This record gives sequence, structure tokens and C-alpha cells, in this order.
Amino acid sequence: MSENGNTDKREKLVRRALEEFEARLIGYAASILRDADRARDVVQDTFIKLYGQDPGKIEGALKAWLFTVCRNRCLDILRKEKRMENIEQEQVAQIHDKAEDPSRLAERSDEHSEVMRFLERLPENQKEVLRLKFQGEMSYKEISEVTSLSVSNVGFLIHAGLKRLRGMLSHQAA
Amino acid sequence: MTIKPDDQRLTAYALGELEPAESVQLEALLKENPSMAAEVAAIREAAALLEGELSATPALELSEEQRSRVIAGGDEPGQKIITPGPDAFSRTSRWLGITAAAACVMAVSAIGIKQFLLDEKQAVTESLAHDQFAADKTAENKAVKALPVTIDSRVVDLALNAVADESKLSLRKEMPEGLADALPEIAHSAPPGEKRAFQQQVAKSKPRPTVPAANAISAGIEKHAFDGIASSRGAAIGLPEGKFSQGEGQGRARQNAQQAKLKTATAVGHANRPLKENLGLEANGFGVDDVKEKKKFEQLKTRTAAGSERFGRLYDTPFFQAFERPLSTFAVDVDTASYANVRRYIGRHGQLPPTDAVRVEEMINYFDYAYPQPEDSRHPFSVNLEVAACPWEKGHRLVRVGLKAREMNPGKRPASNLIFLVDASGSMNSPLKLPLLKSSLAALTRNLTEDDRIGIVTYTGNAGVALDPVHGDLKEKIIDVIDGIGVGGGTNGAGGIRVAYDLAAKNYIKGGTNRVILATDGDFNVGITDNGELSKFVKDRSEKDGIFLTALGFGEGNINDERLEQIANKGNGEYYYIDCAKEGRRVLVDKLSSTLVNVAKDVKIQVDFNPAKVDSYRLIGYANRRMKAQDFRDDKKDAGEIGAGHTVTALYQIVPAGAAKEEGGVAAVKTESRYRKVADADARKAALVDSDELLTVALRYKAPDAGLEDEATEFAIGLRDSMKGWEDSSQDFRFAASVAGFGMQLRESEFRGMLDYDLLLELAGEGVGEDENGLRKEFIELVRKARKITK
Repeated sequence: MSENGNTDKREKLVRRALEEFEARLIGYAASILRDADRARDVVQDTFIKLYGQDPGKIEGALKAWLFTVCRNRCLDILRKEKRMENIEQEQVAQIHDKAEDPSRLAERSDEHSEVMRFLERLPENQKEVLRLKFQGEMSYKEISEVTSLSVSNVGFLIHAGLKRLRGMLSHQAA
Repeated sequence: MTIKPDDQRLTAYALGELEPAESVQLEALLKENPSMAAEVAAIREAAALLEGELSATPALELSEEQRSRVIAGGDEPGQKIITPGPDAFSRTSRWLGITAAAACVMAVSAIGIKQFLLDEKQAVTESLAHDQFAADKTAENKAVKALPVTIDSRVVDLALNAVADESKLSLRKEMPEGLADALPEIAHSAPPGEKRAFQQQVAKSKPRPTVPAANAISAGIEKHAFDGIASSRGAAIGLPEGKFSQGEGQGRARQNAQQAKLKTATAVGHANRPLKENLGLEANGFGVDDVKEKKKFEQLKTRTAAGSERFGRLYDTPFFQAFERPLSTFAVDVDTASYANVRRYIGRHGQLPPTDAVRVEEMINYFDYAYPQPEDSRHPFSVNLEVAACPWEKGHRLVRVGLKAREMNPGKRPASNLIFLVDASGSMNSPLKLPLLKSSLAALTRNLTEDDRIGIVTYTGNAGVALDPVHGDLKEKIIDVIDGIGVGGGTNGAGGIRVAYDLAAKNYIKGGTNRVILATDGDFNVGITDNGELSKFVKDRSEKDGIFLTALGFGEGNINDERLEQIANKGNGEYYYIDCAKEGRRVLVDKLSSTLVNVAKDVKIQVDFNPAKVDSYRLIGYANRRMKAQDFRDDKKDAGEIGAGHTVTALYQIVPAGAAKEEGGVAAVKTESRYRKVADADARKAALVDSDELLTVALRYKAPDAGLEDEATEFAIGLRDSMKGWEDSSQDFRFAASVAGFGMQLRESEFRGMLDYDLLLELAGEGVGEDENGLRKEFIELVRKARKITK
């Protein structure tokens, strides 16, 4: 493969990634970061990083690659933030206030979306796999690649998460 | 295999994650164990709900700047020259000066052929860089020569040279005589409409240069470039996989190309008919694509409704000849249910909706258009006409009739007397139904005032009056009752609907809004089981008591779409399909005034086409709203209602007079009879009144509280065709056209011309405008998703 051909492929890959995963990745990142703007930044970085990759290696597992990179980037930011929080608690708190919490955002546009509220109440790990499953439209296997959990572990978390969600919903419906 | 209700394998199975072998085992188990099967169904439902909600979150996109940075691979935008994506391409080329645009188009066409000849899979726009392209030319020629079958290489040369010509390369001598001069002329003289069509052909070939698309390109070139060269041998290219055939003779090739130009687009997706017939080409190499297309077609054809959902059969309105049939009459429709339904199928289930679930007018009318409020205080709505080039059929015009009803000041909304008639049957017991219904009604309740009155009647299960009408400020009490609605098993709904109408009549507010709001998943045990009788009942009560009906459809698998729409029509009402909490809010909170307060009823539109200007016309959508011409002035004939602030939009596709001869009259209905003389041109002309107008739109309506015997008001507006192209049309016009196009595409309408998803995305992108509520962006997402499904 010539250098030119590779560039072509790379552009194609990035474009495909943008087209298919832009919204889903931002949604996913926003759910971790609770901030749509920072989520966009992370996703931009993710795509730019994709640009630097060898397309041949990634093509087959584009989705998993994107979500993995995006997730790691998000977690990095959160870790960094936590360190900062210890130093400049006040300042960070302010940033948090201004930040757009996606669940709040969703709530504002639709204050009766019980499901989203319930989802937020789930334990972090269940919430994450559910988001990957239903927002990222990923298979158990892909989720396992992204989160480094085992496939059966993913299966269990999704099962348990859905079950709790249903419990909350039916409680509400009754 | 033993399994407990709490086994995670059930979830895995419900989500399609179980290994095939295990899946089979489990399936067998489920057959014997209904409670386990119900568990699986419940898991699926919760999953669908979650998926729906997660995908319904506000559109998340990178900013333009971020996006260009990504596309530039991390460099600052503008630093690195890379091939523009499809969007960027259409934006630049579309708005360049005519010469540049036409040259660019030529270039892309040429590349289209080049790519197509050499590598079908390579995306066309990837090599827009002209210089590189010109450099490739030699290699190209070799490749062409190396191919086993002969081809008139001048055609390829022509295409290639068209590109080179832009940079004034010395290739003129290789061109057929006169062509070099003809090219710029074509570029200059191409009228906007044609340019558009040309670009479409190109756009169409962008992602997936299929045989028909490539044909369209070749046909386009054939037509435009060869017209100026009387002596040149016409040649038609059009075979995939590197095979070529040569047009057999000049006349034939010309004719073929003409036909191909018209029909290629239709041929996509209709590949079950022999392509040969569609294209009018002697085709040898169509095998592969034929099979592929055929498979796709069958896949599409077998799109079925989920569960026992029912949709009434719809037939597209054909073209009618203006001379034979100058009047087109229909009732307005402000329903939007179909769009919500389409969104559910595509967005949530990742499948295309059944064609009959797609009512184009309801899709168009789902969106807001910025038509001005009526200035003329005599009429409750303004009429906004616009005409521009039809983006999916070359040479055709598209006319928009847009009504805008007077907005209601929220504070001034007349008092409402509302009776909720709630379906509490067992089938409502699912997260997407009763809870959604409750939250929707609760949302509406929160916006009521002291002047309003609310009552609640349930049917089936615990049938009866759940809440005697109370004033709207007792919100907590009302919401408590709504929350308390539970499902009961029985189906004894004696009098449900009668009780609701009686309550509404008892509490009638003169000068106010009096409505029964029926909320159901389609179970119609409302106390009247016979369909006809139910319609009649609803119609009678709306006429006698002035009580209107709003039908809200919920849930999946059981929805009786056709009947809900029908009964809402009869009851002077509207039908909305609530697919998620957001939609519930839209209908019952954001659009509360429009949903509740009518400003006119029995609104009919009659368009009178001038045969001197219009050969034939077609009403897009409104298939089940068409009326007989003579019913327009029959004021007893029921028609559509318009709520405060509502917009109603209808589109006509028009074949201009004169254009039709060349193109064979498209699909206009032939009305020749062996017992009748065919009027010759002179006789026809003599029969016409001399007028510049394209058409006249007449409207007829009644005041919302008018009785059956009251006379309606009528007014009319004429329209001249300014001959403007698509690029001069308004954003609302473009967006409405793209929504209509999407509907036609989903319906697999035979009239969809050269529409495909890429073109739709382009059109919608050009019409998206400010999009305050994000609904237009959501639409674009939906089109993208549909494209993905089809691929």
C-alpha cells in the first residue's frame, strides 16, 4: 500500500467514524463527564487520534477502538479533575456548576423522562454497560473489549441493570 | 437446560446475545413456559424503552470548527488540503459561479466514469484534485485500451478532457470538433434547474456508483455535451465490472440515453423489473448488480408491521393532466402521527416502516415552518405559495401551498373542557404505554388553569368515571387520579365513550374548547364495537354537541393506526402518535394551543391549474384526504381542522406545459377514448383563457363553532411561476421538499425520480436552517439511519 493510498484510507475511515459514531460517542462521553462541551472536546481528540492510526489495523474493530480511546480519555480527565479537586476545590465546584449535566439537560428538555432518571440511579458499572449497549449499540463482546470486563461479566451487569430499571419502572406504573 | 426467571441468559437471549445453540434450546424452553416468555418480552420492552430514550437525547454533534479540525487530521482548518467530504463538496460546488460549478460537475462526472470503469468501489469525490487527475490520464487511457471490449474512447476522452479543459491543457485537438467550444457554452447556458439535475446525477453516484447512476451520468454527458456536435457518433456507456458495449447507432443511442436519463433513478430499487426494460439499454453486464438490487428490493418488500399493528393501505396519487382535470381538491390535515411512527420504526427498531405507515403529509406537517401570521384579519390563516425547481425530477417544478393559522397568545387560550378517555385494558400494562400516557397527561394538566375543566373516564378494566370534571387548578388532585389509573383485566367497557361525550356535553364551555382526548394503544373496546357505528357516533357528537376528539396512540405491537386516524378525522379531531415522553410533551405541552384550540374547521383546498402552463400535476401525500372537486363547495362535507398556530403544508409536483412532450408525459393519466376525438393543439388552445398564472389556490373553511348548515368562507390566491431554481428557494421550501422526498423514498413511491438517501441528506442539509427545537437535525439523523439500514 502506497503512502497515498493509506492517506486515502485514513480519510475514509475518519469520515466513516464521524458519520456513524459522532453522536453516540459524544453522548457516551457526556454521560461519563456530565458535560456536553467537554465531551465534544474528548470526541474531537478521539477522532484526531484515529487519524494517526494505521487504518488497516483498526478498520475491523473501529467501534471498539473509538469507544475505548474515548473512554480512557474521559477517565483520564476525571482522574485529573479529582487531583485538582483536592487542591482547588472551590474552583472545580464552580466549573461543575456551569457544566451541562446531560441527565439534567435531558431532564430539562423532558422532565418526565423517568427512564433517564432511573438510569442515573443505577450503580456506575451497570450504567456504563447499559449506555454502551443501548447508546453505543454494542455487542457484549465489544463492550468487554472496551471496558476490559469479561463477556459474562458484561452480561451479568446488563442483566442486573435492566432488572433494576424494570423494577423502578413497574413500581412507578403500579 | 434449566433456567430460573432471574437467569442472565434470559437477558442475553432477549438482546440477541446468546450463542445460537443455546438460543435454540432456550427458545424451546420458552414455548413451554409462558411466564418465562413474558419475562423475555418484558426485558425487550425495557431495552427498547431505554434505547429509545437514549437515542432521543438532544442531537449531539461536534462544532463546525471541531469537525473541520478532525477532517484535517488535527491540523488547523485550512492548512491541509484534503478531499472535502460529501457535504463540503455540495456546499462548495453548488454555490460557485456557473462556469466553475459546471466545470466541477463535469469533472465529477468524468471521475464518476473513470472510477466506475476502474474501481467501482472507490468513492467518486475522493479524487477531486484536478491536477492529480489530469496526470492520471495517460494511465487511464492505457487502462481503457487494455480492456477486452471496444469502446468509443472519445466518450471517455471527452469526460476526461472536460476536466482538463478547466486548466486549459492542450487537449483540445483530441476533442471532437466543436466540442471544446461547446463546453464552456454549456456551462454558461445551463439553466439552474438543469444544473441541479446534473449535480444530482453526480451526487447520486457519489457513494455507490451503481449501474443506473453511472448511466445517468453517461446520459447526462451524452445529452449535454453531444448536443452541439451534429456529426458525432452517439455512444452509450453503461456496464459494470469493466465491460463495455457500444451504442448500436446514433439515433438509438440518443434515444436510449434520453430514456435512461428519465428512468434510471426509478430503476434503483425496482430492480425486480428487468433493468433492460427500465433503462432502454442493451445490457449485458447487469447480472451482479441485478441480483444485489433484487435482494435488496425483496428485503424491502417484506417490511412488515410489527406484531399486530395495522396500517390502512395507501396509494400514491398519480399525475393528472391539467387540461383534462384542472382541479385538485383535498382536505387539510394537521396530524403528525405518521412521522412519530416512522421515527419509532427507524430510530428504535432499526428497520424501515411498512410503506403504508408512511403518510407523507403527516411527515411534512410534523415540522414547523416560518410562514408569516395572517395579515388579513378576515381570515384565520395566511396562505404562502412558493414554486421552484423540483429537486428529484429534472425540468419539473415543485409548488408549495403553506397555511399558517393565527397564533394564540398562551395567556389567552380559551377555557378548555377536556375529558380524558383512557384505555386501561391489560395490554396497556407496559412501560411504553401506561406510564408514558400518564406522564403525558400529567404534563398537559400542569399547564391548565382555573378556567379549564378536566374529567377522566377509563374504559375496559375498571371502567367508569375516574374523575368528575374539576377545575384545572386542582392539579394535584387531577394528577393523583391520573397516577391512580391501573389496568384491570376485564373488557366490559359499557358506555366508555358515551360517558365521556356526555360528560363533555354536560360541562360544555361556550366559546371554549370542548374535547374528548382518547388515549389508547389501539384497543377499541370503548363501548361501541362496530367500526362504522363508532365513526358515526363520533361524527354525530362533533356536529350536534360541538365536541371534538383528539386521539393519542401509544405503544407498540398493537397499534391500530388506521382506525385511530379514521376516528379522529370523523370526530373533527387530530391523531397523534406518542412514541416517547418527548413527543408527549411536544403535542400536549409545547403545542397545547394548536392541539386544543381550533381556529377553523372543515378547511378544504382546491388548486386550479392553468393548462397553458401546466401539463400535469401530482399532489404529494394527502392520499386519503383527496376530495371530489364538486365537494369543495358542498359545506356539509367534512374536512380538516386547523389549530392555533398550526402550519399545514402541501406540495405539488408539476410537469410544465411543453416539457412533457419531450419526456413522454411522465405518468399522467391518459384519458383518450376511442369514441372521442382527440383535441388538437389549436382546439386546446382555443379552450384556454389567456393567463400568466400557473395556478390558483382556493380555500374554503368554517369558523370552529359553525354548524353543519352554516355556509363556509372562501378566498383564492393566484400564483405565477417566477422560474426560480432550487438554489433560490427558501429554507422551509427545501426542508419540506426533503421531508416529502424521504416519505416518497420510504413508500418506494414510483414517483420518487432520482431520489436516494444521499440526495435527501443533501436537500435536508440545505433546508435545516436555524432549527430551534432540534427536530430538523433529528430528521437528518433519521435519514442517515434509514440509509444505513438500506445499505
